[in-house]
Amino acid sequence: MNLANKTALLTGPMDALLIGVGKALHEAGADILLGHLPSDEQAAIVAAGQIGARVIALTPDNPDSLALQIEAAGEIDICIIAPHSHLYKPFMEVTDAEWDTAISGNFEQALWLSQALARQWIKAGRGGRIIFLSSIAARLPLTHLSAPGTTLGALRALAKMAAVDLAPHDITVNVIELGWVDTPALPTEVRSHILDGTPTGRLIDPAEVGALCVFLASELASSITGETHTLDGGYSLTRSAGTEPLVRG
Amino acid sequence: MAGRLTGKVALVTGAGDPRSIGWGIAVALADEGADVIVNDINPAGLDTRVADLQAKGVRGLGIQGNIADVNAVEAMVAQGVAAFGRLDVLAANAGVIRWEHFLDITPQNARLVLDVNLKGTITCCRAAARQMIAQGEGGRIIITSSVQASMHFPVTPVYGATKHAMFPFVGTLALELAPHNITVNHIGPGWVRSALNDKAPDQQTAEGIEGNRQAVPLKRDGLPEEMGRAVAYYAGPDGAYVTGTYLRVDGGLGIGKYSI
Repeated sequence: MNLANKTALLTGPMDALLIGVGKALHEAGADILLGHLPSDEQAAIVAAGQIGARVIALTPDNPDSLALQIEAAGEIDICIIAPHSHLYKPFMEVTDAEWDTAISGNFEQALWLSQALARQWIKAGRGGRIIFLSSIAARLPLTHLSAPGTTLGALRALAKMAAVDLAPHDITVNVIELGWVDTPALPTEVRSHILDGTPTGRLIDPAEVGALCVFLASELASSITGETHTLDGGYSLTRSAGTEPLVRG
Repeated sequence: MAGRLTGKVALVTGAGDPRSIGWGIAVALADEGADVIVNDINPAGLDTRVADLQAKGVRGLGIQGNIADVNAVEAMVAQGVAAFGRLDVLAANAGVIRWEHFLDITPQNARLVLDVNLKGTITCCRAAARQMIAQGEGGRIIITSSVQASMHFPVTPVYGATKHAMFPFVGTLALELAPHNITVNHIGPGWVRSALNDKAPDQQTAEGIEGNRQAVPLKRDGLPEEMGRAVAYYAGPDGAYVTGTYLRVDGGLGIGKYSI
């Protein structure tokens, strides 16, 4: 799979997952652009250094400014959007402000970014690829994950409806619902619990997420759109809903 | 004759319009003997709704309030409990819809639909659950989602997203509130000729209305009272062991369609 001469915009928390996905896309030949929130600039610069990426500040909570930033960013072919909120908390304790953060960071920002790109691509008469990174909590009700589960559940439906409208423009929209990704942020005690419930017996390597992104961004996946791809080592096949503890790294 | 909900107090949001699913729910619950608090953002019909409830021999109370306003929701539950002493059933029904394809979604309309359908519903559930937990006698939460929770219409992407989101939300809530014997479920109304649907672009002509009707396997519109009786099932003794589920009440509209 060759992504040479393609540019991929990656946005979300500047963590091991996004860096792993960026590396995979870069190895496949794509130029990488890390889109960061203004508050994440330092982390973005550090991440970009690891994968030879450029950085760009985006304000996805402000659709008008965002459209201008996307226009100024130059040609983009692929967009990977990761969620910002993985809040792990009992529903009765989730505050109003935390719901606002989850709705904005997991749904609205993804909406405005994908919409701005789609509008730009259509104007330019070119296709594109949108990939939303999500969580199996969007499909599998899990205790203490009401905020990410609900907001990413909304995103899952939005992706399907966007896929229908954007397909005539050669734009595909896909979702990858992740299980437990191996990152340094994952606490040891949680790690062993998750391993017990994962048929493959291991956590997911960010490179594996990157590999699926490379495939979905490639010409080989031109007809795959509106689909939700589960990447969880089989966790959702065996782990009954609600089993604790589940903290995203 | 005592009904199956006699002695219970229910709160129904979005129930001020006589042609609303909310009012259909209020009527069904009152017919089973529940005292009913009816909420709406628009105060116009509330006095009449309360009189209609009282005519059925139950207590009724109207509370104007916007569920997108957190303080208004807290005040609504407090006022209802102050008046009727308790809260047993929440029918989180209020919602708004906007018709905009993905490329045309505007921040103003997205904000409104998210504030009411998602945030407002969540806030109502939290406020009601807090009261039910304090009472220590269980409770029933029934959310009005939509057939759009399980089949998508690209003409209403944000609305559909907020409705599909009720699957993980209801599931997680059902798990977390089960220790308090509070059940949480959602119903999926299909094509109901309600005030909310009157403004749908395809409902402006007789042909459009008939076209929608013919798309339903049972070939007719749903009635608000039919949605209400589904809620009454979840709220009553027959629904005591049912939690975390979704019931389409749609004449078969959602069968085999565009699964999400």
